[in-house]
Amino acid sequence: MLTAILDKAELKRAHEQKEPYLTVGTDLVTIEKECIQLFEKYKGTSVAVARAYVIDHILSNARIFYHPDELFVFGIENCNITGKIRYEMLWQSMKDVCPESATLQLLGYESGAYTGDCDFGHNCPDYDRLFALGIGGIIAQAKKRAEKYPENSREHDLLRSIVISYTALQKLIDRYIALAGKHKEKDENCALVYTSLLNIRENPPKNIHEALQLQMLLYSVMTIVTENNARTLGIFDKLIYPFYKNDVESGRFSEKDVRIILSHLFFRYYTMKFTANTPLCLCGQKEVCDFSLMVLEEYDSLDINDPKIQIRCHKELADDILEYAVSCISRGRNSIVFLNDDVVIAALTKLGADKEDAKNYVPVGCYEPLCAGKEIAATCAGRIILPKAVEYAFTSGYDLNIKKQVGAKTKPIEEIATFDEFYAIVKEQISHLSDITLKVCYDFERFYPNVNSSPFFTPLLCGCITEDGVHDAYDSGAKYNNTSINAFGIATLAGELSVIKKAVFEEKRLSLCELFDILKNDWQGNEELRIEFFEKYPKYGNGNALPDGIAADIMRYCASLINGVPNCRGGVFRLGAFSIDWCFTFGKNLLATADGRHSGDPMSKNMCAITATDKGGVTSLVRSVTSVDYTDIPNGTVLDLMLHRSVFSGEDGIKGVSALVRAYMKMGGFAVQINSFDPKVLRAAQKMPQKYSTLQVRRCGWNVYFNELSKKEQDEFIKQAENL
Amino acid sequence: MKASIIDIKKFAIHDGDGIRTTLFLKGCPLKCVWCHNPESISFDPQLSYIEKKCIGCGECVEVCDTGAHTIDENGHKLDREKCVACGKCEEACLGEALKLYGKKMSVDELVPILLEDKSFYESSGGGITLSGGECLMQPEFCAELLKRMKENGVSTAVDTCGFVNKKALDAVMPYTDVFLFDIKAIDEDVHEKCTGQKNGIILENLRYLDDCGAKIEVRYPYVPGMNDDQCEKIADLLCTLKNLTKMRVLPYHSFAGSKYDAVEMENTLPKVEMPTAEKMKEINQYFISRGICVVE
Repeated sequence: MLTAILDKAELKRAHEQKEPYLTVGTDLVTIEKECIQLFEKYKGTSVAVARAYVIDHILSNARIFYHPDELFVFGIENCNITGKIRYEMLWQSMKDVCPESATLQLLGYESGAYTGDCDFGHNCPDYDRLFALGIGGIIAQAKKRAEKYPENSREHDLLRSIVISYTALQKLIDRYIALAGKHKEKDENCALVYTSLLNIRENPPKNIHEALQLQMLLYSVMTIVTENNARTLGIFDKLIYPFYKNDVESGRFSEKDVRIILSHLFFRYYTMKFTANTPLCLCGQKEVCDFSLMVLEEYDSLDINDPKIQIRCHKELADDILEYAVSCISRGRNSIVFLNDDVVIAALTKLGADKEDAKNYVPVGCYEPLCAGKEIAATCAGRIILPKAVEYAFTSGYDLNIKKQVGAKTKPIEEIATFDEFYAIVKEQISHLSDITLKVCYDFERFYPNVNSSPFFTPLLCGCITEDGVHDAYDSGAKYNNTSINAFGIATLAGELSVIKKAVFEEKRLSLCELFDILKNDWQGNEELRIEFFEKYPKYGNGNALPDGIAADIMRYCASLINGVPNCRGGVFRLGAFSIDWCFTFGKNLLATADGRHSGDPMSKNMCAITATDKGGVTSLVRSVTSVDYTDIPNGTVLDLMLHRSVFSGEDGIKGVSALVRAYMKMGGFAVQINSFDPKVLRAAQKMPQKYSTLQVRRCGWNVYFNELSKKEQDEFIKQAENL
Repeated sequence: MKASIIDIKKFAIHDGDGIRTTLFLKGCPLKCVWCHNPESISFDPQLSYIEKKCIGCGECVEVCDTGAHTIDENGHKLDREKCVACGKCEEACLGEALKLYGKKMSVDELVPILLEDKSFYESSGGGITLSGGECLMQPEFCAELLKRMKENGVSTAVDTCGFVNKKALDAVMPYTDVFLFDIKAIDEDVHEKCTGQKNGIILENLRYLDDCGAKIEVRYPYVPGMNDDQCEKIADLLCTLKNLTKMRVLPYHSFAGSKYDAVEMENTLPKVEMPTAEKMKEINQYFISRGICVVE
């Protein structure tokens, strides 16, 4: 009988203090020094082989942590040595070989108008293949294939690096076997870990524990040691269900055992604290949906924010699963995002993926879909900050903050007579920023394979090792070798253009030049006008045709500039529209905007409205959001929906929010994530009522606006929220 | 034909099945002491003013034809005697401190607004709900609006306190899919103490709707110290209904105090504790034990 995580608080403490852990290995400082020496020694011959020796050194020597009560071992102490090596090499290569793009890259960061870079961070290895071959199978295949190529050839070196790296992974497992072996007689959890490790060091996994342990080891070494981050545990229910079914039917594990295994697994990922958490996708298909629900239940029971769960929504998704997920959110366990199968699959096929590959999509990172095990999507390679295009339409492309020409040299505003003319110039600026972003990404990506080979990832990506040849995952090896650019700040752009159209060109309240003077001075002396533009002019998020039409048109325009443009790896560029927290960082570089935003304030986030302007409520917001055609946005985006916890109250609440998710999907939304309010937000709303004017709260059978409540009543709500 | 409108609430998920839009009509024949929508009681338009939202911009002073608004060193003042409820100041107010309850709107104006969320109704089994105040105090308007909704394939609900003329029920019944019917008390004296009116007409109307085959969802606002002794008698009544679909017990809360201040009405909210979640569970359980379908 396995031991469950009985005392979460105790275990949490244990993880934080690391006290009860057995720690074995060399400290990071020493490891780093040794690795750099090793790399220097080998890099003259082949970067791939040199990196493999570094990997071998780390996995054989760096510190590992072991806790006999736990059911999973995870990898190795977090060290960023290969990342450091990679960045230095990449930057040096760019400066030497492609100085123009290196300069453009710096200009992008400096101005905050665009960025172009490499993205190694969003991958999905083919876990089915991993489970089918096992580590031994992968090594054997690479060795056999290497025989075909002369020594020191590019192919031979790459295959050799794979053999060295996977053999190093075996060495790491051996280190854990030695630790688990000491405790296996006393403890059943320990005995299970020991037995599983003994098998998976060579063979394919035989049961659910072995499969999940092998996946965890690969996930952590890819992420920590090679920085080819595996940013998903795949379509988890579909992937793991066969093991679950087999184990329960054969009596290897009881259902209760499986629940214990899952809870240990999630807790382990939670304590690893990977950047932006560990994503896990549920397809909820009929044949696996019992297991999908079990995964949700175990996530719910742990009350932790990691892993993050991505639920694929489709007509067959059972109400049970959707409503259970919504009820998790109502309890504040809202590490959940819903994706729309119909739209995602259409978007991926429109870009050129085979229908079957698109159907087998998985979101990597947050909500960026790719064809699982077949695509590199580099989902965060480039960014275009859309409101900067409006700023540059005012300045003819000159950036006032950094005093440099960044955008296109378009005609001065004094000569602009109509809104259509201004709008065309905004598009010209977007096109210009897009061209630069594509160029920088194109040039940077040429250096991928030379600086960051992918020995763990390459054998697990369809197309890399075939009869026809051997290519690194980042050297055009995959079936789909794509690169993604995110254009964001769309609600801010739609809001400012709506104000300009109405106030400047229709109502003729002020000229473009006068407006620009006001914006340059950050509304100084014009506070009432600012509030009026913010409060009274049409904004995206209210189902209003003007801003919604602009948003839809601009996103369509971005798609025409980016989707399908060839990259340097034999793939194409693809458009995304998410901002995550970049809306804050890049907001700092943006002058005041005509929608009433102050200079330096955040711009709109993802597909959300500008904060506090979606006064028409959630259905109007959804109508605005779904006015955009998301089959043009294959790299994805999301709507962050803010609902008070009381909206979820009772059966009606859970069903109502679930129905909202379904309606959103039916209307063509891409993805949605839901926040139930937290007392911190309520406290902020109490201090700054104007900023939170749309925050509503519900009790019993009706809603009230939070900032219309008296202080005492607000305190009561805050108290209740704290006790939820 | 125009009606006096308080508010239009989208994404209403607790006013009937699915995702709904609820239209609140102004004016109510009852004066429930616990009323959470004091602005809904009077049939006359009322201007609401929330002092803490006022940013002192003075836009209201500029647009007001009757001089109802003034701003001096002590801030904004509203002279309600002078206010003719034209609504101009609400439109001009930059801080959204002013709001006019009781805008006159026609069926033609309302239909497109209520149809905006049709796709949400369709995918969730929702629709529109007429509420108030007491919406059936404006029965011809309601009937026309409900008819237009049905013609557009939208499901309809009417939320009523039941203290209305039978003819009003007849007028809306053909176009109403479900009545959300409030029962506050069975004992006449309790009802009168709580609402200012006896409940004979209400109980008669409930029976009448049931006999006509209308679907009914009963709502019982549960207010400690006021009508919390009525559970058994309400259950007795509900057990005799043929077309009751479900019931809800709505726990009392005291969050509406600021609304009374905003329209300068005397706050009548009872000074009692809000019922706890455990208590509500117990009440719901009681009705369930009586064989009644309860939505928690």
